[in-house]
Amino acid sequence: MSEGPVLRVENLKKQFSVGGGFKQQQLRALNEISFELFAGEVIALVGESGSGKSTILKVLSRLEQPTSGKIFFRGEDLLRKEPRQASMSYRAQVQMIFQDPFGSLNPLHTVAYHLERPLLRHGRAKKGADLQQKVLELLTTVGLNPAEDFAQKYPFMMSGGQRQRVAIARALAVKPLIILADEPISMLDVSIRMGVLNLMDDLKRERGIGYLYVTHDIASARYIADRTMVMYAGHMVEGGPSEALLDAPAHPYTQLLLEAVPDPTGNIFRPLPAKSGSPQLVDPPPGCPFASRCAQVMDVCLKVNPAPIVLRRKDDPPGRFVRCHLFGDTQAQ
Amino acid sequence: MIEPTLLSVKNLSVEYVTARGPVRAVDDVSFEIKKGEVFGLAGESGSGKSTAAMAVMRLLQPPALITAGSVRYEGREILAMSEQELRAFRWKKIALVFQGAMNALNPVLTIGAQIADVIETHEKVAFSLARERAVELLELVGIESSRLESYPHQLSGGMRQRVVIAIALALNPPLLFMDEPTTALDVVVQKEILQQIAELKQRLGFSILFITHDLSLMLEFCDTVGILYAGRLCEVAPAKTLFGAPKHPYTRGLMNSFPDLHGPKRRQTGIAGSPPDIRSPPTGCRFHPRCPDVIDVCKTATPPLISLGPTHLGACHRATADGGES
Repeated sequence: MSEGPVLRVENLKKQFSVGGGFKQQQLRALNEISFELFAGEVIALVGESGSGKSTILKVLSRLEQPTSGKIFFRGEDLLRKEPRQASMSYRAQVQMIFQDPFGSLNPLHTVAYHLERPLLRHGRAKKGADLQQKVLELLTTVGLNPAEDFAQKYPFMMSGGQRQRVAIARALAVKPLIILADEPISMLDVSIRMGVLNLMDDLKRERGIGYLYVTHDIASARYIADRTMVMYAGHMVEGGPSEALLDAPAHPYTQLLLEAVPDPTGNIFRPLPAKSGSPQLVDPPPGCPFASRCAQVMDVCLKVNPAPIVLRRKDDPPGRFVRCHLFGDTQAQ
Repeated sequence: MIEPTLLSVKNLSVEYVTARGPVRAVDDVSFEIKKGEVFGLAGESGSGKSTAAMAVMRLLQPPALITAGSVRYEGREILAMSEQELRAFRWKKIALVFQGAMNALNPVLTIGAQIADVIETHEKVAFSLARERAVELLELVGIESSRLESYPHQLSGGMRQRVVIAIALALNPPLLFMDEPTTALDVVVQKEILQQIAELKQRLGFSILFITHDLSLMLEFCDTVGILYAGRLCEVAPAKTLFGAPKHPYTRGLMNSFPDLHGPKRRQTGIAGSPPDIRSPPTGCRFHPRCPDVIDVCKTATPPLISLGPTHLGACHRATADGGES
C-alpha cells in the first residue's frame, strides 16, 4: 500500500436546497472541510446535532453528492473517477456502521444471511463450505461465540451489543480499508459499550483499518481516536491529537463543549462559558459561525470567517489547528 | 441534619403477565426519598427503573401488575388509593417529566394553553388567572413570556423540555419524577436545563426522583443514587460515596465503562457479557454470570440488600463476607 493517506478530503462543501418555489434557499451543511485519514488511524468527529458530522460520512459513503471539493481515495480523484456513484470496489473498501443496530439488520433473516450477502456479492467466498467457514470466522473475529449458534440467530434473539457486533462483522466481510462509524455505541447499554469500542480498536491494530468515528461523546473520542476534529455549523473549528486537544482546547466552542460534559466530581452550578443556541445554517451571515454565541467575540469575528491556523502554543504537538480569530499571529493565551 | 422522609418505597415488586408466565420487572425494591433530596435510579435498559417509577405513580397498565410492596407518601399508602383519590394526588403531590419532550406536548395547542390547562383542571380557577400563572411558570424555567402563543413545533428541543418542566411545576408539587429528562438533547442544552432545575429545587424546595442510564450525569446531579440491575437494587449510597468507593462489582464495572476525559489513557474493559433477559433471569445473584468476583453461593442464593456503612447499602455476598471490604 502507498505511504500517503488512504483518504484525503479537500475543501469539501455541501449545500442543501431548502424551501420551495420562488423562495429557494441554501442550507450550508459543510464548508471548507479538509483532512487526511491514514491507514490504521481513528479520527473522531465530535459536535452537537446539526454540526455536519454525519453529513461528512454521507458524502464519503457516496450517499450524498458534495456541492464542491475533492475526495482523494488512495491517491485517486474519486469524484472524477466515479462521478455519479461509487464503484463496487470503493464500496468494498469503505464500509459503514450505523447508530441503530435494531434498524440496520433485517428482522426476517438470520445472522448468517447478513454476512453471506456481502461475501457473495463482492466475491469474497464461494457458495458451500467456504462460505460457511468465512461466516464463522467473521463471527469469531467480532467475539460472537459460539459462532455456530450465533450464525443461526435472528436479530430479535440478540442484545443491542451483539447486533452491533454483527453489523461490524458485516462491514468486515469485504475487508475494508476504512470504516465510517456513525455513533456506533450511543444506543448500546452502558456496560457493553467499552466492549464494542475495544473491538474497533483491536481491528484497527490488527488489520490497519482506518475509522471516521462520529460521536457526541467526547470521552469516547479521546479513548479510541488518534485525532479528534470538533465540528460546529459545518466547519471543523478545531482539531489535533485527541489528548492534546482535550487537555488544552483552544476554540471557545470546544471549551464550552468540554465544560458541559457531565462530571461525576463536578459542581452542577459551575457556569458555562457560553449559552446554547443554534447557528444560522440557511443563508449564514458572514464571519465566524460561532460569533453569535461566543463570549470573546470581536469585531472581526462578525465580518470574516476565520481560516484554519496552526496552533503553536507551548506544549502544542504538531497537527493542532483552530479556526478562531483569537489565535492570530501572536498566538494569544 | 435528618430531613423527614417524603416517599418511602418498601419491597416493591412489579410483574408483567405474559403468555409464558409472569416476568418480574421490579423485584423487591426499597428506597426512600427525603425532603429536598435528589434521588437517582440508574440502570441499563430493562433494569426496571422506569417501571418502578410508573408503579409508584400508579400509572402502570395491565399486563403490568404490582404484586407486592408498599409505597407511602408522607405516610399515606399510594397503593391503596382509589382512582378518585389518585386523580387528586397525581400532579399535585408528584409530577412527572417524561423522556422526549417532542412527543409529550400537544402539537395543535399553544404552550400557554397547555400549561394553563393543568392549572385549570386541578385548581378550578378562572382561565385568565391560569394564564397569568402560565406566564410566571414560563419565566421560571427561562422562557420569555412572549412565547406563550407559540406552538411546540416553533420551539427548539431544549425549550420544549423546559415547557414540560414548567407544566410539571404548575401545581407546586413537593416531588418531581424525571425520567431521562435530557437524554435527547445536546450536552450544552442538557447542562443548562439541569442547572435550571437545580436552581429551582433550591428555591422551591422540592424533591426529585431522577432516572437515567448516564451514570456521570447521575453522580453529578443526585444526592443519593440507587443502582438497579435486572429489576433488583444492587447498591444504594450517596453519589460521592458511590463514585469514590463503589462496593458492588456491577457498580465498579459501570464506573469502568466510562472512558476518562483526563489523565493517562488506559485500556478499560467495561463489563463482560450482556444484561440478562429478565424473562429468564439467572438464579441466585442476577449479576453472577458477568461478575468477576463470583463465588459458589452467588449462583444459588439471592443476596439481600444490607447495610455496608452508615449510608451505604449493598446486595453482594462478597461485600458481606469481606465486611464490605473491596
